[in-house]
Amino acid sequence: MKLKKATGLTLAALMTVSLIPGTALAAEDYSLKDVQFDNVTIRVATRNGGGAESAVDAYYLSKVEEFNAMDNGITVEMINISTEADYLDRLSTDFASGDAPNIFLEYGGSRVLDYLEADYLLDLQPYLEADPDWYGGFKENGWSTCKFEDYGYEGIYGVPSETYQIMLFYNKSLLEENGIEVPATWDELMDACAKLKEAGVQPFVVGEKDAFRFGHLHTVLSLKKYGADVAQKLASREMSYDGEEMLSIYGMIKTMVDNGYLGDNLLSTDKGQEDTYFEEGKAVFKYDGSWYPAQIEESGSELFANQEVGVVRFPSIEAKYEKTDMGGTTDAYYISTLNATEEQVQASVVFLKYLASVDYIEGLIAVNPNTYAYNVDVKTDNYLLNDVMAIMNDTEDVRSDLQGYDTQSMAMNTVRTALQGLAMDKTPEEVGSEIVDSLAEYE
Amino acid sequence: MKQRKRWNILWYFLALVWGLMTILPLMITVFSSLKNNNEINMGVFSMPEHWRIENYAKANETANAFGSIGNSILLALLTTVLVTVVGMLAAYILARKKLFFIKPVYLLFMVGVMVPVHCTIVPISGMASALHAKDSFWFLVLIYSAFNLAQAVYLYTGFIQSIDRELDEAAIIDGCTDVTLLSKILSPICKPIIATEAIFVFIYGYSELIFSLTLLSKPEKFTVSRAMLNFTGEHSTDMGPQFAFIVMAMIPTLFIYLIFHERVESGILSGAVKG
Amino acid sequence: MKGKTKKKEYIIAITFLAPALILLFCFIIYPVMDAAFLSLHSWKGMYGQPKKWVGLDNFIKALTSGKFWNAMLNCVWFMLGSFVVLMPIAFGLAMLITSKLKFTRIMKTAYFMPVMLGTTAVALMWTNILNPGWGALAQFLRFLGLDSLVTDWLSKPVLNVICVVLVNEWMFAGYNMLIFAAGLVSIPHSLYEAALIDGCGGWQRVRYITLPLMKNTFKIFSILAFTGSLKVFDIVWAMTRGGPGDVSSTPGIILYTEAFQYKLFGRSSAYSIILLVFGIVISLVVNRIFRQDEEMY
Repeated sequence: MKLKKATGLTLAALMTVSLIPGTALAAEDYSLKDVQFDNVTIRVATRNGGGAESAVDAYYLSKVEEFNAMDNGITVEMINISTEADYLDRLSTDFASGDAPNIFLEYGGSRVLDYLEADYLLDLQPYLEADPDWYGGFKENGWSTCKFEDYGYEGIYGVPSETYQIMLFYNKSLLEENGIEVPATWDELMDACAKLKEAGVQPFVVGEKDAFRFGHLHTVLSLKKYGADVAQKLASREMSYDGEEMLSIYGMIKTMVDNGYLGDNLLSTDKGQEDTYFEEGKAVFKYDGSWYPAQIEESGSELFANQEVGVVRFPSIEAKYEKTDMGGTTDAYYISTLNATEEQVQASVVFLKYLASVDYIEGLIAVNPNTYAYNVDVKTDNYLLNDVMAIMNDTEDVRSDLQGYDTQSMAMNTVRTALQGLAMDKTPEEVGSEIVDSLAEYE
Repeated sequence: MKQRKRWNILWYFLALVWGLMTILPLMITVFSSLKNNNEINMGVFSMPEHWRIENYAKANETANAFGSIGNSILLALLTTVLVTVVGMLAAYILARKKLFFIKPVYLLFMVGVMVPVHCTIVPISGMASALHAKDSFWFLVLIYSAFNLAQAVYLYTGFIQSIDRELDEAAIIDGCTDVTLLSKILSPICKPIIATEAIFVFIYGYSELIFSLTLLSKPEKFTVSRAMLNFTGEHSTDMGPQFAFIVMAMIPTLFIYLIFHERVESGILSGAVKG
Repeated sequence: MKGKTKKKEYIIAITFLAPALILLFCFIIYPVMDAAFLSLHSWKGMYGQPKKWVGLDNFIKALTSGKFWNAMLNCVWFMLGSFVVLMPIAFGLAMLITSKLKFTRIMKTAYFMPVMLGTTAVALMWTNILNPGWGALAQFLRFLGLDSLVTDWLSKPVLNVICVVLVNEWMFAGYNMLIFAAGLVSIPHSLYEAALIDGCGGWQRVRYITLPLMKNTFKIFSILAFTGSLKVFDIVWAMTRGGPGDVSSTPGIILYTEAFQYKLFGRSSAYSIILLVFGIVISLVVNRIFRQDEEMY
């Protein structure tokens, strides 16, 4: 596989070199050092907003402007769509109509599998290897969204951007008032919930109107109970979505729902309202990603200002998987070769080196401290983020949404949709068979 | 007479109740436009505690309010004009001529009201790339017009059919051609339906999202709905400024609606419709 | 002479129809033909990749899917709502704003407000009114001591569809009011005056003058209501996203997710074609019903 790909690429490079005069690139030279381009325009699709109000967006806009002002013959045109569904509409449409962006942002795994199978993603490995400075800037464990060996593809098909991990955030004073220790294990968490409920304090409020909330809970519980291998086992159907193992996970969620630990009206609460409940001190716990510290800081919450928010690793279920967590790389940039000239592809690599670089990220951290897949020191006065990073540094193994490893790209949606059933009086068995049935419908 | 008065009171009462129900969203939108996320989530019906007027400035900056509203007005007006002219031309033939292909053509227009928009996006986008028509307003105007034509042709045809044919015959005897008959005699009578459909077309063109999303990339070309997406950040939506923008964007439609609907009422004519 | 005028008729008809037909063919008929072609193929939405012939497979999968029939059932709720709720309200409002009552300008502005504000604002408001925790409706019911009636309206199967249908009718009452109003204002006043002399009461005037003269408007409303219900998307997406689960899903939502999220463009096209066929059949039936009615007069 690897051999075939590599020769294909070299051949293509050789052919275009001989066909397009003025391309000053030798077939082997993937480093692209000081290459001059002759008026190449590339289009870059990201989920940055177009507004200059948000610090991240403003930084991106200014950096692209800076790049365009450089005298390298490349012009970058931006496609900025911040809402996920609309972004995907645009991306799907552009790929289907043949007018794909040269660089695009996606979330890896089964979500980019279709592009890879159609052979429209550039293998960046030779470019990375030819430029050790660039390659060395990335954290070694950040490549999960860019490698597809499990699907039978050798190579590196993208470069990662942010990393994340799902953790348990808590309200310090509410825990103290009720005399509860910060839970480290699942049993402790359940005890804490029971105590809080008895005292008339709401443990969690989960916005399950946004179906990814139970999706995340399902993933993190499965990892904590069965270890990182569960991802592969589920994807290969060695472990079935209606088997004993999964039923017990649905059962755990169901128990929490039935005991009212997760809130009363799960399905009519969305993620935004969930955040508000926590920030107004009306819920003690909240499981959320490592992006939450930056978000709560921006919201102007008093809880955060008074340093009353604490964070802890998601409670362990099996001791041996204590440090296995839900996390990894969130998004990555991919280069599309669909209807792109060799020059555009190379120009895209040049821009990617600029965008996905330690320099760029350091500037980004200055305006928006967060966790990234780069070897950079994040110094921030956001106390919560410092705690979060300490936990992440101590994590041993991570997996992202379990359905991201699936071969069926609709698995994520199917599972999340079915899990909503747990908040609708459905039994774990019903949910399990619903997932299996709908997946079968798409085989 | 007394009974009539009682009826009037009942009508006023019902009108008031429905009016309160429909004015509520405006109230909530205005309230929300002065709050932040947490205040909105804690209760959309309460008055804002701090009046966050700065939301409007933020809205203006994030969505480039004047630019995007201007673009939307331009698109909507062009679409309205095109739909009216093209639609009336077609409706006149469909309502008045008895030729063998009238029925099948009418059926074709029926397909136009029925087609789910999502199945047309990819082919239309492909067409736009082939014609280098991405980021071009005229192409969007053509698309918007096509999607509104079917309904317009329906409404116009139905209306023209209800106008007495004797009027045509008299006009033709007076020496009217098809063009003058349509423009000088039928169109003025059709004013109520033309103005009504114009309101619909304007609102469609003004707030359309999916095609402006898939076909426009340049920020300076963004429409109202497209610019609205800018309020969503990576993990949350800035709802206060978003509602401020909704309030700002609503003002032009309000004017158009009031202006056009005056035309509907002034279109009252006697004797033109067959009894 | 006769042949010449006939020829002229044809030329005029074709020139007048041409612009509309060109637009229709480019942006509606061509995409529909593309969808018809795709519906017989399997395609992942990757430009230039072969479209694999699968025959009627997509249609069989679509028509045997429980999800689809549940969605169709939801469409029936929308259709019912259109005729039982929307039509009387919209017609009543149209009578109101075209009447000689005062304040009609304020009224008609208020009634049209939901359409002007758009689905984002409308959906936000109603999801908040219908929230079982802090929602206005729940608080009102509790105030009346009817706690047992408070439930999670937007999450219970069928109940949530009915809620969305009602919100939809509430929102579009103003829109359809305008369609009816356009028909109402073109009824000559002389007819009413004549009826008044004949001693007709208010209700009789509506029954014997207004309704018969509005037949065309009712026909158009019916066709728009049926087809609008078949392809309904925006309001459902904004309020429940078709959930929880697939409970409140509609065919419009299914064909959207199949194409743009699952990248099954063939299957999605099959849904489009099925909807189109349903729509045409219903419209033909409606046309037939109204024509029979005419012949009876």
